[in-house]
Formats: sequence, structure tokens, C-alpha cells
Amino acid sequence: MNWVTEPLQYPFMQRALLEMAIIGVLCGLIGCFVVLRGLAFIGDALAHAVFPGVVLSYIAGKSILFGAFFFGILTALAVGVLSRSRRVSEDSAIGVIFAAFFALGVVILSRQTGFRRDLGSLLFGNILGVSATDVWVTFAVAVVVVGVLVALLKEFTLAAFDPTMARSAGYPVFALDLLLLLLVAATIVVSLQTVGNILILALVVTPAASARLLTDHLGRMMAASTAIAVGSGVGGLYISFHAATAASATVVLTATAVFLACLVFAPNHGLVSSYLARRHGHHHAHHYHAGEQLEG
Amino acid sequence: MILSLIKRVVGVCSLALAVSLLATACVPSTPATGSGIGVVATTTQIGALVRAVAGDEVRLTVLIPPGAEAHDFEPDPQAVKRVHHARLVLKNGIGLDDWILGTVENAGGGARILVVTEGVQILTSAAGDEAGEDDPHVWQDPENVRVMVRNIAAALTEADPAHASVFAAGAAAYDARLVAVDAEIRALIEEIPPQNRKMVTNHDAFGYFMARYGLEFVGAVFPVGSAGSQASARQLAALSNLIKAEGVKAVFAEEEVDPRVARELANDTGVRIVTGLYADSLGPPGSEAATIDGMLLANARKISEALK
Repeated sequence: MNWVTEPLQYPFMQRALLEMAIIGVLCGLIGCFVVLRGLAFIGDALAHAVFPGVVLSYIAGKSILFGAFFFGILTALAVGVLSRSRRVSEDSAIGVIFAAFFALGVVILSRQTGFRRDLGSLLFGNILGVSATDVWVTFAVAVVVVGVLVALLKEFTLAAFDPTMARSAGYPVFALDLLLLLLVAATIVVSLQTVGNILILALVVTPAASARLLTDHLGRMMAASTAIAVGSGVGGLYISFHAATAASATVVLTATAVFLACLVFAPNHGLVSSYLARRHGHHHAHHYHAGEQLEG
Repeated sequence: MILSLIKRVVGVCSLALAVSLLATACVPSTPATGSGIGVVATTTQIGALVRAVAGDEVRLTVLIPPGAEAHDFEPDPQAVKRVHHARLVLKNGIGLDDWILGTVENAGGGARILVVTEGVQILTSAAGDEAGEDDPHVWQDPENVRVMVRNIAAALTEADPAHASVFAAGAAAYDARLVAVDAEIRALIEEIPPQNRKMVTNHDAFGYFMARYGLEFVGAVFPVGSAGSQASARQLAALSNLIKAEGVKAVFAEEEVDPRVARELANDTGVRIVTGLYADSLGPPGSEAATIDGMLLANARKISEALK
């Protein structure tokens, strides 16, 4: 049987591939803003801070989306509000809140003595156990998140890279920042059940970081990031199918391999081309300026 | 950059650590019950057998609570204290609860340690990474449980000769109960047409049950014998082919393992999903599966009902 078509005859693989592709688009697009704005730490914090929500939903026997999304919103709001204080820097606020929420999850879980089933699927996700309903929910969330992102692309970009100018132009910068955090939270929560708490950040950050090495243009970066995320998601699943390895970890390692390839071979920012440029005496002063990107 | 990387690594490590701690240390053991000599049982099964043999004439502590993972369990300080005061520590052996040896050593007090499965005919696991290794789920065969009852009664009598007649009576009564249950289960399995006597389970935990009652093990969703590992897509695909080829009627998901993958597999192949089988642990106190005979019958009813 063919390498490509064999997995497709199994419905669980069809759902896993579809889910992975949707999540790839979502994480690829959101990931660009996470990487460019340096939100990787808060992304990781969100993935951990939703833990009590996951635990509560799990205990109640409900989809983890409900609890996780509630705590995701709570975390995004708390970080946004706390970091407005001059005395509490944003990364301190993140540190305080995500540790507190994670501890809350641990305490709730420690009170449970009954049948908890296994924690493995909470930590590493369960891409092979994705139901048709899960795929539809992911799709709906993706449509909303991508819709908001595209509709407000100009505002987000300006607020992200030139907040002073955005403020003087009358944009509600704080609200836009908060909205972006909520979109990141939604992305992370909806991807959680496929790859789990620990590996989710790789899907958000790695494809966008790879794309950042390939181009200076925001539009192209978003396209490349999405392509890399979908490609490593689908490719990783195929590899895991044929090599009989754990699905989510294989996806993450596939994305990492793409990142390393970009790091070495990227046309302008890769190690090889930088080395060649230095040898030829060109000073390649290529810096990222949001203002240019907007017009470009 | 480096700093945030370190933060992240520490975060991930602490998460993994916290959860592994949770899976072990944070679960409180059931408080001691009864009065008499101190007896500590590792598993819910051994605890239930001690209760059946001795009634309330021993002070019994069961370390692993219902539903908790047995392999990497770590008792809380209260439990260690009771191990210190115990005369007798009863363990399952066969690689399931070897951590108790360290606990007894740390606790001091000089309790006698007895492996209650001594003399049981041990089978090897059929599936996954543990294929070929000794299967610890001996309590899934009532004949093995009778051996365990005899071992427990003998050890209790030696530790507390004054109550010998109580233990002998309790052991005899439970032995009779197990013989009756064995016949009941056999009758339930007889109701299944012979070509339907095939099982797919979440993990390979029913080897003894299937061997005794002539059921065929087709495959397990999770590759290793213990809970918590990830299913691989390749092996899941092979299993879904097997289910169709063998005409398997149902997929059984145990109470202790996440049933999601098993549920989707059953949906895809158009067979029934049966949840709530008790594999590694007895049910919580008061449930129908709180005793070994109750657990075996509850499982047999579900299996018979699904495969008929």
C-alpha cells in the first residue's frame, strides 16, 4: 500500500490529520504575533495556567475546552491588568499568575482520590482519540480566531510594533493587546487536547520562528509560518504512523527539524548565507521594521 | 533569551515533576479499620481478601486507594507510620508493588513481608512492550484468588494464633464463595456464542480471566501493560484491521484508563464500546466491585452482555 494513502483509510487518522491541519493554520498565524511580540513566555504560561480548568472539566466529565478556556481568559485578563502596574513588570505578572493557577490545579487534583484514569493524555494530548465533534469545535474556534485576526490585522500590527504611534492615532492599544492575548489563549486551549500541556508551545512558536528566518515581510511570514505548521503537523503524523512513534512528540520534532533547516539554510538570515555574506564583505544590515512591513 | 529559555525548561520540568508526584504521593491511603494485629495490604484486592478472611479482627491498612496506579505508588507519611506498627505486610509481587520493600525498610518495625501470590501459576503478557513479561493481574482468575486466600489465612494464623479459628472460618466461607462465582461466570460466558468469544481491551490486563474462561485476546489499544502511555497510530491501525477481520463484537475500556481512543476505535470499526471494566483496581467502597467476587461478576456480566 502507498506511503501516503495507507493511513488515510483509517477514520482516526483522517480526523487526526484534519485536526492537525486546522491547528497548523491557527498556530501558524497566531504564532507570528507571539514570536514578533516576544509572547512565548506568556504562551507557555497560558498552557500551564489553564491546568486547573482542565482538571475541573476532567473531574466533571466535560470537554476540557470549557474549563481550560475559562482559565485561559482569566489568565490573559489577570496578566494584562496586573502588568499595567508600574511596579509589576509583565514577566513578573506572568510568573506570579501561571505558577498560582498551576498550583491551584495541583491542589484540586490532590483532593481527588477516585478513579482519575491516566494523566498521560492531559500532559501529552491524545491526537488519536480526537472525535468528529472535537474537529468541528476546533474548526469553529479557528474560524473565529483567524477571522478576528484578519479583520484587525492592521490595528494589531500597529499596536504591536509602534504602540506610541498607534495610541496617538487613537487606537485602543491596551484593549488590542488584551484581545491578542485572548486569541493566543483560545489557540492554545483548542490545541491542548491534541498535543497536551507540555508540547503545545512548540506548535505555536517553532513554525513562526522558522518563518521569521525566511522573510522580513509580515504577510509572507504568516504564509510561511502557516505552511510550516501544517506541513510539520501532517508530515509528523505520517512519520509517526509509519515509524510507530508517539504522535504529538513526532509532530514537534518535525517542526524542530524544519526550524533547524531554516536556521542553517535560510536565504538572508541563515547561518550559511550570513557566513558567505561576511566573507564577501557585505554588511547585511537587515532589520525588522513594522512600519515598512505595513506599506510593503 | 537564555533566561526565558531556562524559565521555560524549569517550568516544563516542574510540571512533569508535580504531576508525577500527584500520581503517587498525594493520594491518601484509606484509614486503618478493625482492631487486632496490624496488617498492611498493598493493593485493593489483597485488602478485600484480608477483610474477607479476618473480618474486623485485624487492624487493616490498604495502601493503594481504589483507582490509583499501583506500579509507582508512594505511601503518605501516615501510611508509613502504620507500616512501622504492622506485624504483617502483604504484597502482590510479580513486579507490581516492589516499592513496598523500600517502604518497610524505611519504616522499620520489622514487619514480616509475604507475597500472597506464592503458588499461583503465573502467565506472561500477550501484547505490547511487556509481551513475555510476567502478568501481575492474577486476581482476574478465581482459582488464583483461592490460592491467595489460603496464603493470607496461613500468614494471619501464624502472626496471630489466638484468632486461628476466625481466620479458618473466614477463609473457608470465601473459598466457597469463589467456587460459586467461578460457576456463575462460566455460565455467563457460556451464553456467548463460541465465535464471539474475542476481546479487545484498553490495556492487556485480562489475560488470566480470558485463559480461564476460554476467551481469545485479539489486542490492546495501549501498547504497554501499564496505564498512561500513548497509543501509536501504526499499531492502532493494525488493531482496527484485526477487529474487522476477526469480527470482534466490542472494545472494552477499563475504569482506570482514558477511554477516548478506545471509544473512537469502536466507533470507526462499528463495534460496541463497553466502559467500566475493573482491571487493576477494585471499585470504591460500597460499589458492586468493592470485593473480588463482586468485581469478577460485574466484569463477566458486562462482557457476556456485550458479546452475546
